[in-house]
Amino acid sequence: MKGLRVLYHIVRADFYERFRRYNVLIIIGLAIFLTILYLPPQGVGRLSFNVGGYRGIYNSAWVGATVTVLIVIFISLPGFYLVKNAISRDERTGVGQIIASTSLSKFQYIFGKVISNWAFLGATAGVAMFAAMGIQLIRGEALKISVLGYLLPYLLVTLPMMALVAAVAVLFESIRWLRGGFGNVVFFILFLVSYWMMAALSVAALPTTTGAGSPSIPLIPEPTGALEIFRSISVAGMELIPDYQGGLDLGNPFQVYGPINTFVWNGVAWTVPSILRRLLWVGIAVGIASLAATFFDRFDPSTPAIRVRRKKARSRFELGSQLARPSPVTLTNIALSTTASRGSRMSIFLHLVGSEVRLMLKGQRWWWYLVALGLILVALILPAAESRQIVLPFVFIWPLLIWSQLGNREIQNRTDQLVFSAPFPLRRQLMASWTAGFVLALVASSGVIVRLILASGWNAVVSVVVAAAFIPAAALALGTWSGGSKLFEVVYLFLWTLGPMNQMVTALGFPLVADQFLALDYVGSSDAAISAGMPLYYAVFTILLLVLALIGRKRQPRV
Amino acid sequence: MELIIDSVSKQYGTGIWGLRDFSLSLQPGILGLVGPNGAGKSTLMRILATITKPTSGKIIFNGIDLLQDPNRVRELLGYVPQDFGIYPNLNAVEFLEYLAAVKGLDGRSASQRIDELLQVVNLDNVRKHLLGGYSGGMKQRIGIAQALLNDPHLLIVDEPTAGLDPEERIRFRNLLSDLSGDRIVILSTHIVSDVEASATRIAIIREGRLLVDAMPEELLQEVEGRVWEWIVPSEDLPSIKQQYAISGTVRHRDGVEVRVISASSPDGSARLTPPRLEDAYLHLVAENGKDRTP
Repeated sequence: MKGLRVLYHIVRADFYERFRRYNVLIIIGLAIFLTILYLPPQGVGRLSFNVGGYRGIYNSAWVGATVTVLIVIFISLPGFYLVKNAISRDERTGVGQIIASTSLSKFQYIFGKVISNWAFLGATAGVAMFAAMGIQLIRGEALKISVLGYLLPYLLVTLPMMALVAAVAVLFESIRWLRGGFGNVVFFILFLVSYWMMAALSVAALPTTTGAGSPSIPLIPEPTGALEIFRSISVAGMELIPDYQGGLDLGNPFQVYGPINTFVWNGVAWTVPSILRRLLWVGIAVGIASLAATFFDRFDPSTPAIRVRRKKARSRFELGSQLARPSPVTLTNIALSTTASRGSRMSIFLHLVGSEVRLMLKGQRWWWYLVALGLILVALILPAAESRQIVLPFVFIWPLLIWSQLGNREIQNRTDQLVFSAPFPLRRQLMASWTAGFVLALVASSGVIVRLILASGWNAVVSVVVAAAFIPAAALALGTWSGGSKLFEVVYLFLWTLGPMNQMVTALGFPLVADQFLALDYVGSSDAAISAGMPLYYAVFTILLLVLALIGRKRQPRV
Repeated sequence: MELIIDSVSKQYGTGIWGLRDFSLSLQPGILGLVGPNGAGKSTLMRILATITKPTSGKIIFNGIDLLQDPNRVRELLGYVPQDFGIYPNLNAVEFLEYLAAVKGLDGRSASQRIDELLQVVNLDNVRKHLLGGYSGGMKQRIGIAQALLNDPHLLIVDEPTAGLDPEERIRFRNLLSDLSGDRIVILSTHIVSDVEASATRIAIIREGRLLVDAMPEELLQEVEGRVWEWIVPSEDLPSIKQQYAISGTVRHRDGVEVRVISASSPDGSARLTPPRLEDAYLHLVAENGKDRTP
């Protein structure tokens, strides 16, 4: 009983702490925006979620299912990044040290954090569900609200997925080397894999007229649960839609399709096996939480989780032993004879850029440099076209975790008061940070640039240079406004995946998504993107982002 | 050299004031800014360090308007914040080199200055160790070193001795005394003994307002003939606390020696004793916060 009370208080404190922050409004706003976008009114000719060009009438079952799919596919990713701070916050604020000195067990603490993550994500999804009821009434195609139409997908699809996200977030925080930016990248990849898994499984599980898929094939449990809904809609489509060939399209809400046909779908007929398939993920979430508890170091700063930490601990030990020796303090030796002089404006700036580059690269391991050098060499060896299309995307993702420190490093390391009380924190220090990021991008892409110059691909050279300027500008803008590295890491990963990465795999014959998203090809890895004027657009974006960064920085120190 | 703080106020929200109509004029020397926690010391420090803008008022340093032209003041400023961080993957030299670059100092001359500063703050022997392995006191010393990089004319130190051991505290006080000759040093603290030995002037701040701005001798004059000591049984201590402002207690075998501030003798056995700055501070703060001294 006492254990439950403790758990309740951990969950409550965490839940309040989160729900009273403004960023909860961002995620709720995003969920409602997507809901409105994915439920376009009849008559505008736009179509989103559909089977063979048909969509369900906007009754509670269809609206509830649409919102559920949106949440599990689109909100679970930002949701993960939003809740992946429960343990690190306790560490940063020092509350963790207090908690560690109590009798609270590791399991209680970790389960408390998982449940609070789950409660937060579940509550956010719940708000989106309530908003969807309002949208159903506004659209007015079916005015009767069926509570079960919303409740069942929420309970059986959304909550198990959110439990999984909540537990994985805590697991990533419990493992030191997954706690930072590297963990953010790893989860993004895991998310993509689960998305592709769902897409691949749907090929076999959804019925088609050709008999390629069949509703009789038992569904393999997949984490999002969207497949349970897709199969039910698809089976209904086979019965009700005359020319339906099978399959399901998430659709493009920005595209105008012309007159829209509708059919009536009354929701998933939940069976015991389908319910068990969903509950299985709650069980997996519990397993992940238990695993997290075993990894959790209980805020012990001496836990040698990774080699760097061991090195630091050793360094601390050495320092401790040096300090233990009586220091020869002679109070008369305090005198400062030298004074540092100031250089010219340009030499000051260049000196600062050099220092910024050194600071950015400090702490990188030897293998990081080895891979960066390898990419430069491979780009030089390959023909210009391959160098641009295949190597360039990797060149512009490898330094991600270095760029993501821009604009927020001072806040994260609490050196802001030192740095911002120095002269010209805006025009000198901020611009030096951007220049350092730009220089890093240019050096990283130097192999590709040289190869393109040799092949006289001047337009492509310009687009690479623009990308090198755009990336640190985006990092700086998002870093100064969010005060952290996570926002840039997530946004940039999205942009990179749908932009240059998608271009690359499409060229290799394995498109990630149906659309080409040329507008997102900020590196100009295809001629089509350059012809469409992307370098010019991104040059303009770069300037806008730098202005945004200047405003964001001005806000930080209130200069 | 002069720093003029003219009617500076800082409002954080409706009815919440960090500073209210604060005015002070300073010449070279050390100003000890003392006050209870939450009095507004750090707000004033951050405003003077150009980190925070005041809601109203004016600050002029050597003829430069700090609000209009903060960058010119920043070139002459050294600031040790109350709470600051470091870059854990840099060593002391690299960190100071970085901040020297941020402050716009020439690399070669900064390097000599850094060598000297590391000796001054007694970190020369650990100069190549990563800052991530430094103790709290060592980080504090790095903070002090960075503030002196540009040979500042205005040195602002906010609670600088927190985390320093007694030896380092003495060393730091002496350093400040040495530095104060031709510059303005503002030392904010809630530990009166920190400024007792070194401050040439004392300003007491409470609830965002300036209570007193005086020379240490003038403050001591305020409580001359009002500080009493005598030994009382331990069980009498609670009732004495109710009646008098106690500035110190020392346990003895035969009871507790109490030190109180009172206009008249509190007890037949009480004897007058020379006042300390702490007595004056307590007296002034207590007097302005519903005085309990009779």
